[in-house]
Amino acid sequence: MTAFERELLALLPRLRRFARSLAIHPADADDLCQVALEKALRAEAQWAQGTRLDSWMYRIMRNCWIDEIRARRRRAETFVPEDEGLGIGDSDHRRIEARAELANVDRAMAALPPEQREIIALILVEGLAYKEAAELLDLPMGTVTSRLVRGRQALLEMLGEAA
Amino acid sequence: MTEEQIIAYVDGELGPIDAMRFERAMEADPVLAVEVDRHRQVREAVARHFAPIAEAPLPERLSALLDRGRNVVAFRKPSAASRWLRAEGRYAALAATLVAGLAIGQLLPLAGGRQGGAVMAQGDLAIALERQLASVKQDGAYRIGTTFRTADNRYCRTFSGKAGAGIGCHGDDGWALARFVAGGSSAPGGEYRQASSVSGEIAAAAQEMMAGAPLDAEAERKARDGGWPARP
Repeated sequence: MTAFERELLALLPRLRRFARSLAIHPADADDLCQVALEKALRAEAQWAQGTRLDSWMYRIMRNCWIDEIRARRRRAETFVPEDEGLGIGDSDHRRIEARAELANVDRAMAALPPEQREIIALILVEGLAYKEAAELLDLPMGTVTSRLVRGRQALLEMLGEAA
Repeated sequence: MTEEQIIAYVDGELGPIDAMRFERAMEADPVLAVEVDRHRQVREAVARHFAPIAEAPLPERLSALLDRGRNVVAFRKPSAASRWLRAEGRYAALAATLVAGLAIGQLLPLAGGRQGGAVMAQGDLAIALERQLASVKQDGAYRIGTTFRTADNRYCRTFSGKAGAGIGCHGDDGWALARFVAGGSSAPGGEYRQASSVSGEIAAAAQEMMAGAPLDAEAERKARDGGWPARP
């Protein structure tokens, strides 16, 4: 095993957790993990040694997830009549809603639009500081905090007393 | 206090002075304290919900991706491969899945028509094929079954192990896989067991490739000690 592989392996538990908070469904999450790992292994040369591997991996995984969402949306546009509403969050929500075994938190996370969900995932689940999340997502702090606040309000409303 | 400030406080994002002021405001305002508590509960509920995933055992298919050196097979550059070691494209696709440990019940085909690379045994499998004797107690990662000669005078050996079962044939640059069926499972006692359909397929393939009878224990040892010579 190379040093790079060992470091990725050490990160893998956290990456799976991040994948789950993005994709929600366990099988989707492990597929996302696999896609992201394969991408990272191919892109090993692009990782600057001495920089944080976790941020680099989170970014790769998040980009893989965005690609997946876009592909799903394209498929939905192909197959679903236009008047059914095509919000990405909505269609994700419907995918998840159908699965009664998912917990309240899963359903609430799934209902968030992707741009709020990824920020909630990085800050609440992965414990990143606002500044770290902003750098990772290449967003201004103001955008991160406004999405975070909207996401938190939505979670508060959905989880309410259950939380 | 704005909701943004409440959330920043809950997230530990306020500087020490702002945090102190915030706490003072909270003491004076029970409604604010309730708001803080609700946001804190949401944060904790979300974190608590996903936390066990980072503690769970890793799925083999993910951890295996990160141990590329442990692969049981590698490609040999196109060379004078024997007749059942061709069909590069099919091997490439299969080897990719073997390596990831995903292909279950897939079978490498016999003779393909094209020139191309072969799939070579590596690591534990290569060692088992080269050194292990079926007549001696086998407790490594792979078990050797039958050793036989082919019509073109090569030695081939059936094997089974955690990654799967197959047939390896000796050549100038090592052991090439003539067949490989990925998958299989370990019995609780650590003793390896192939699904009977898998060993049946491998046995049938071996039968097809075999010229004459399989080697007995003595002939097997002699062939090994002689370095698996291509000609008797």
